[in-house]
Amino acid sequence: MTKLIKLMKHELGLRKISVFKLGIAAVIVNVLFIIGILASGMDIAEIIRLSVADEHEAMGALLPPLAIALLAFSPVLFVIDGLLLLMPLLNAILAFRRDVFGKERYLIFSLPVKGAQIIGARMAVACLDYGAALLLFGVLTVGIVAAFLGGSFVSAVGSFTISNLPLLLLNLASALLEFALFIMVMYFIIIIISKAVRNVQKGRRVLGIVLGVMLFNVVLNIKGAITQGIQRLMPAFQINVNTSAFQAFFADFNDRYLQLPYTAQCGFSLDLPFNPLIFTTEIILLAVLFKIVVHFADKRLEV
Amino acid sequence: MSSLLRISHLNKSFYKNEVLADFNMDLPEGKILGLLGPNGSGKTTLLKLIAGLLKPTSGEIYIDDCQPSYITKGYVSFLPDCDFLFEDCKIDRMADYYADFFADFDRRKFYEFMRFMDVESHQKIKALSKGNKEKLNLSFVLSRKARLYLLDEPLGGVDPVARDKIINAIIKNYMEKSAMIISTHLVDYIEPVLDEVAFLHHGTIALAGNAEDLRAERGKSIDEIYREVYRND
Repeated sequence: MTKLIKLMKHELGLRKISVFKLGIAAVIVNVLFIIGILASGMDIAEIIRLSVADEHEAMGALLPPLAIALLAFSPVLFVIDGLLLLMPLLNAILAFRRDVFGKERYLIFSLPVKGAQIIGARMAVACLDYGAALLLFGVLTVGIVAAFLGGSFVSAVGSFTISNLPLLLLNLASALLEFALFIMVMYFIIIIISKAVRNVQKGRRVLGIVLGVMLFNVVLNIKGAITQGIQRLMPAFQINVNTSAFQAFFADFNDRYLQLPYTAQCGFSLDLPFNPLIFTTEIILLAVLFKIVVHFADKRLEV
Repeated sequence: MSSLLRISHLNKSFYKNEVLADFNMDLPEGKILGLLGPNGSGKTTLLKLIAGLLKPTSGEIYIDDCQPSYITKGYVSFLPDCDFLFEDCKIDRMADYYADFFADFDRRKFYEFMRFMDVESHQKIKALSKGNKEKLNLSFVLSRKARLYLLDEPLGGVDPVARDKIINAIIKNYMEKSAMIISTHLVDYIEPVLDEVAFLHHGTIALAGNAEDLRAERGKSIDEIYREVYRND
């Protein structure tokens, strides 16, 4: 246990990109946005009521010009917040790539620790990163303000409601679990590549292609966000700007490009349904994959 | 004298390429063994197998009666033939890393080595010259009170002055209860510190024995014997 904590401590110190720093930047941008919306004099309660009632046209008519202008810039926030949620994933993959293909692998695999401790520490740090991103963005930026305003609030990416705190916590746990599962699948792929290719240089190349495809996805989503942003800046589109449209936009955007675990959106929609069956299946799947990856790391992996 | 390292019928292949074939070796405590041979003779593969970084195709390795595992990594100190430290770290931070994971790491000894090697410890590792990186790598490896030291090409890529320093550091580190394997093809430099030698040829031992006995028997230095063994390669 002590070694696991030491591994985590050093891994956090070795991170090239700090999710915490990026998170603070994202929080500042989001809070500024919220202050702007508040300053616009928008009737938040009425907007939410109309949003819930699906009366989008009436809602659009109620939006003050400053709110419309701010909402037009919200795609930029999607990108910032999207990057914030993607950073832990990139960090985790780059760290594991270093462990398996970097020169440092000689040191890492010479440590008197079990494979399970190394993989466990990498997973734990990745989940800490992601948890921090979720908490910073989902709770600090939106949730606390929402709670402060009586359980609901309009922000860059939609209306937010917290009516059930245990459900929110379960959804956060679920988001972390799905993230961990995604990371574990990536680790599995990296281990398989390293085992199949054997040659470190070739392995790096193959992994580079896999990461390249992922990066291409990220570039696509940024491009999509910018296109949407430009469209929304045009006066003809401004009348249609409303919170539900943004929620729909984000959902579509997420489905198309980000493909984040659906609960990663809990920062945007806090009262998501919770499925215990999926949750349990994911825990089992995570445990099985963990066992396979650790087995490979301990018994099969050669560096 | 008890055997610290026992290798029996060790084979290692990468696909169809057989790197080590029916390799056998015993190394007692208190000895420094020179693993000599040209490139591709299997030196690095053997050291990695002992360090537990590669898995044998068949055969057995015992270090202090334990097969290579995370347990033996606690008392085997391995120096790879490349820079293996975290480049973005400061040296002091890397020392913390070693102290956290290797119970046998002696921080005082490490800083002594650093002074001896003339390397400033407050710098980032990536800021060091190639020669200083090599000295740093060796300082970390030798600052552990390990049972078995595995040094893969410790003299590669450093200038003659640095080579002398490294050899002096190896002599300074000699301990009766431990053993050391040094792989190199710079035989003339390393010869004075060797107790035993093993000449590797295509994954098998072409010649092995006590360095002093071999010199007396053949009337030649180890460096000359090396040239003789690999003349036709």
